Amino acid sequence: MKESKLWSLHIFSGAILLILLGIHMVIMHFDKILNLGDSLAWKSVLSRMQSTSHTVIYLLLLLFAVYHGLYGVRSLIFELNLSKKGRSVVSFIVVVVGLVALIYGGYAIIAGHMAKLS
Amino acid sequence: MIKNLLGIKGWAFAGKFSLQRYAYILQRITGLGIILYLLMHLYVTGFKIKGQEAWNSIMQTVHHPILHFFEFLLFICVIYHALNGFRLILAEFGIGIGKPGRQVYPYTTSVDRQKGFFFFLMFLVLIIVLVGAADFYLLPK
Ligand code: HEM
Repeated sequence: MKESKLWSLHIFSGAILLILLGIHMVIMHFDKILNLGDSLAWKSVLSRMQSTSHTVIYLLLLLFAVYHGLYGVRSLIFELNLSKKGRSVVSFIVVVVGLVALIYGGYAIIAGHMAKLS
Repeated sequence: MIKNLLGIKGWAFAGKFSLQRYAYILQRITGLGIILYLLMHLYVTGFKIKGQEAWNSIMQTVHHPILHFFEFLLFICVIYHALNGFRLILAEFGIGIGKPGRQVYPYTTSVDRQKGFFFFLMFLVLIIVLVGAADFYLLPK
């Protein structure tokens, strides 16, 4: 894909993250102030895992955060005037780390949603 | 692509450049912190699929005052990165940086037009961080 397309996606993912990560921060860190109950207690974790809307939010958050974050890291490293080969190596590593994060994270989110836990 | 002739120094040294440049350096540092955290975060929260016992045990492991403080620092990073990032996105779309026009001496830079907005956003960061601090440290569970 063209570099400008990848960069536009970085900006686009930032805008989406503003909403998704905003929701995540309110639920996790304003739980006492908003009286939502301890967000880290197993009871709350389980109810989020079993809720379809939370599962969807987590999947989207994972996808956009991994892309946005790793594209950002790649841009930073590219600023060191790497050779063409160096760039390919960095891109390759970034893609591998991204895939591992997406596969593991996606597995945890979906398996958690399907599991019959109590 | 613009050549970064300063190498590693070019990452952190903003020289005589404006507030914008320092805000951007912070944007990068906080972004790096968040992506590193995200990778650990996926590992730790992944324990939830093994059930209540595994969850409680990993929560006990990470329940440490220093880790809790790092978590709070990361919370500050996220709030800064999100709100400053919001401003950057608006700037990418040319919002709030004025109309293009002929340059007349003394030259002005369009990004400085967001200065007021930047301080407003930093004020918001402060408020959100204070509310967060109350939630992190003051209120009982
Ligand atoms: C909360 C919503 C977020 C918004 C609005 C946002 C927005 C932005 C923007 C506008 C930039 C600068 C892009 C540029 O001008 O080239 C940026 C950079 C960056 N972001 Fe985010 N971001 C968000 C969340 C995140 C998250 C969750 C991560 C990590 C997982 C992250 C990691 C990074 C990194 C590493 C950079 C540095 C890229 C560079 O300097 O080239 N951001 N972000």
